[in-house]
Amino acid sequence: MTMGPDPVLLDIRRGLAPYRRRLWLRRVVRDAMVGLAVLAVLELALALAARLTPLDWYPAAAIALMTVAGVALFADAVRVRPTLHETALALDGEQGLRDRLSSALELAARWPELAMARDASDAVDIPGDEAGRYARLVRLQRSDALRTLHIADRRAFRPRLERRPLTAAAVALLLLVPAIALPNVQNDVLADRQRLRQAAEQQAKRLEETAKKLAEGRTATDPRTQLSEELKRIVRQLRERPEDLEALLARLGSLEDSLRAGLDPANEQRAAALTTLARSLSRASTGQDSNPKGDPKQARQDLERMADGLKGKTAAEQRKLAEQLAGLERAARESGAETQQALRDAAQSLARGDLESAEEALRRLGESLEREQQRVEQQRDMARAANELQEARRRLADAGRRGQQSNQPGQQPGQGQQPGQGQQPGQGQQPGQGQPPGQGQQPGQGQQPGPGQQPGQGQQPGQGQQPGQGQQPGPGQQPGQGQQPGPGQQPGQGNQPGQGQQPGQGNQPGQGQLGAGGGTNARFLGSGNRSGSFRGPTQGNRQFGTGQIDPVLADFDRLGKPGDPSYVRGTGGDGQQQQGNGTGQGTRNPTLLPYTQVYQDFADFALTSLERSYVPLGIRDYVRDYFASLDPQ
Amino acid sequence: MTEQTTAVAPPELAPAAFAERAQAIEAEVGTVIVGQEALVRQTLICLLANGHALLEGVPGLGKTMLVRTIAEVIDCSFNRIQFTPDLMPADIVGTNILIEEEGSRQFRFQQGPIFANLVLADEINRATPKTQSALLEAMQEQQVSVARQRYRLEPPFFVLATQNPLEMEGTYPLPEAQLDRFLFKLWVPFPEEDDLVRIMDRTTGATVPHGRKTAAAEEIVAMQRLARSVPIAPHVTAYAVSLLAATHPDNARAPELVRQYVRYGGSPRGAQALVLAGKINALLDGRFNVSTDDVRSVALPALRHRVIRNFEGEAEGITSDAIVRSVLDAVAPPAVD
Repeated sequence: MTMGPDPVLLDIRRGLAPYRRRLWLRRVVRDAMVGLAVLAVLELALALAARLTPLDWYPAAAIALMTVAGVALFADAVRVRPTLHETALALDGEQGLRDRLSSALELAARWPELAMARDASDAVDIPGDEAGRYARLVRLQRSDALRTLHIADRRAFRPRLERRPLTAAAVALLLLVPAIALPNVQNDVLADRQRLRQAAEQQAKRLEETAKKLAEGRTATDPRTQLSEELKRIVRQLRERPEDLEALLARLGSLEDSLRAGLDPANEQRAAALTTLARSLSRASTGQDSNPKGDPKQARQDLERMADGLKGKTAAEQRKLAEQLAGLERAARESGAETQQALRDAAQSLARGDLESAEEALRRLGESLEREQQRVEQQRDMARAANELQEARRRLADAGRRGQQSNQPGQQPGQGQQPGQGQQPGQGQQPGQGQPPGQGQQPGQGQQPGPGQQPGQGQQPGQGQQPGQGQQPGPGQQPGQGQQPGPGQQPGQGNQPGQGQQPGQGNQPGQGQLGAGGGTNARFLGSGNRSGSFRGPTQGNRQFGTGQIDPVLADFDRLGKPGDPSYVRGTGGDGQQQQGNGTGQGTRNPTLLPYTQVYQDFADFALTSLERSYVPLGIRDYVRDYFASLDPQ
Repeated sequence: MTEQTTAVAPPELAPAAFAERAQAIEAEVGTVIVGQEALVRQTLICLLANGHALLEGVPGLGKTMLVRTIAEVIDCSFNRIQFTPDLMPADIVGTNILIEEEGSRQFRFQQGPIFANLVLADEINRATPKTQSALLEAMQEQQVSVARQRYRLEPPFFVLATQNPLEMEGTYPLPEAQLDRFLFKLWVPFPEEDDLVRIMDRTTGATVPHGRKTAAAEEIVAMQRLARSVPIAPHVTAYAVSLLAATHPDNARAPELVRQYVRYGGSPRGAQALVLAGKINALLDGRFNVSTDDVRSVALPALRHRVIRNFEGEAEGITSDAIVRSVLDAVAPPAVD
């Protein structure tokens, strides 16, 4: 006869079910409180760490912590689900049931035959032996347990909120709120890092493009090929370690310096002379302006034709041609010694009537023109690469500097910086070069503005206001720029609007109001009145045109706009503290001179500036064409 | 070796009647013994567990009176043996004597005072160890061997020994093997003042109270059998074993006091005592299962004489009770949060 489980035992198990759920809930709540406390403390620690040091991974870590905590809680909830026996044991303990319930379940598990329902005969006839006595007591005990279960408190296993984890969680959460909600300066640092990475990537792309262009069609021995390889290495470094700003800037600066050291400062002058010479030679050859652009290749062809036609010319024509060639002596001299020599030989041979020598000299002159043109192109490529490097360096420095400034709230533009604090002079817009103030960049200039890019530093308040000599002085009212002297530094250029990038020529002083601590670079101009004390040189504003070329630190996409501020590298010094007002009214420059008297100086200076400064090629051509069109000759 | 037995099968006792009968005995003993409820309860537990008890207390606290009263309440034979240094084993277990009967001489076993249901071994530590050991077989095996003859002792067989802790001169401390035979070692406390007043009232009057026969020896045997059948859950047994194990200094759960001052812990008889006494305790409480509380409640009398202190423990006056209490503190009953 098959018997089912003892109904008393089944009742016990059924009766324990709700207690089991309640015990489960209590365990989950207990562990959740502990988990919450741990999570809150960890989140707080993480938030505090993120306030002490920039952590790129902070948001991810915070979310990951919560996720892990959630998963752990879920897993723990599954794990802590109590068994019936655990429930019975817990209920025995909490309700003081003297192990009745747990004993009933354990005994049933240990003696399965005693867990079965008692048959009828057993119910009537209780065996008197030891086993029967034991079975009887087991069943009695089971009934006793069920009776006890019925009178147990139904509200047992109420969830407990342990004081310690609860307090820890509450305190941690209270601290966590401000730790998260209050502004975190490290966020700015992270944003700057991101900006720096983006800037590095942008510059890497630009340099990569430059390297690609430099390597196109070049031989392995061409210095441009080697330069291309070096640029590629820099690109790799930019992409791999963008955060290593100092090293990047140093490497870029080093390469740029080496490139610039190899540049011929008279290259553009030579190019202009070549253009003029080629144009003139073509005119001399064809009798008309057949080569208005001064293309050396065409000039060579024209010279070839001239050489071929020498024998057909009369002596008078030959003399006239010789005179014409002799008249190009100056342009040939500027084009290069070889060209000058070939031209001179051609002119002298023609003058002597030595047609063969003249013919050979003319051909040599054509070849020389082409070689010089190639040299000019190579120099231009190298200069372009140097400019690209300078631009990359500047942008990277800007990205890094913005980060530094954003981390120094007290140094925001327009807040009246105290001079002498923070950055060293010479770090200005040429970070990484580390040129100390007054070291060579502007020797002899004397009046150099203050030290660096700190707003308000190095400015020369009260010493500006010197109008330029040109008819178009700066527009004034421009607030001062950190390193930049106020507007109106454009040298007087007659009717030309001030070209802020052009360092002053001759005796044209800058005009701007210095000392108005404003923005830190050309793009972000400070505005409004600024007052502040600064420590700068005691000299006044620098006078332009002393023959020294100032490094132009402004962007060129705004060149030519009247009123744009230009500025030169400053030098530091412990000057007196001065208060200045950053606004001013420009005045017109009353000086009027015939431009023919100053043309050559301006043209020379402009061409030299083109060589030594970062000027896009399109602008260079524009400047050259401009001066060519003004040429009184 | 031949065996003589006079055992008879006891009647069955309904489980529910156990507590009732025990309480009746307790109540009747209480009519004579004033106060000392715990002592009476523990003595009764020893009796119902078919064990033996060693009572220790200063003279005059009613140790002998207690045993005698129990013997009166339970309808059974009672012998008292006053232990003295010159007491011989044969004086306890009996001896063969030569008798002349129907013209022939033969040896006949003359039972000693051990042959009784209740034996009071008064001042047991005054006898020599040799004499003390005469009780070993009787207490453990409930039989006596004399001259290659085994004589079964009539159940119930209950030895209650007393000893005086103050008089150390001329005493022989019970050997560990002998001590281990006792289920409980009970301290007889000095009565409270109120109890003393009542004692004066009862014992200084014209009549001295006596207990009435409340339970027959057969009933006691039936209760003993029933008690042994009380089920005990494995976790309770495990707890009793854990308690005993923790009295050993090399056990991982042993408290510092045990590690420092105990030479030997309790023997397995200690765990048996815990379980058996726990069963009686449960039945007396009207339950049919042993709880950890039952085990804890009998741990002190069941273990205090089984914990052997080392020299440092004795020198520093660390009592066995303190050691057992530290064990109880260290080994918590199984619980679920």
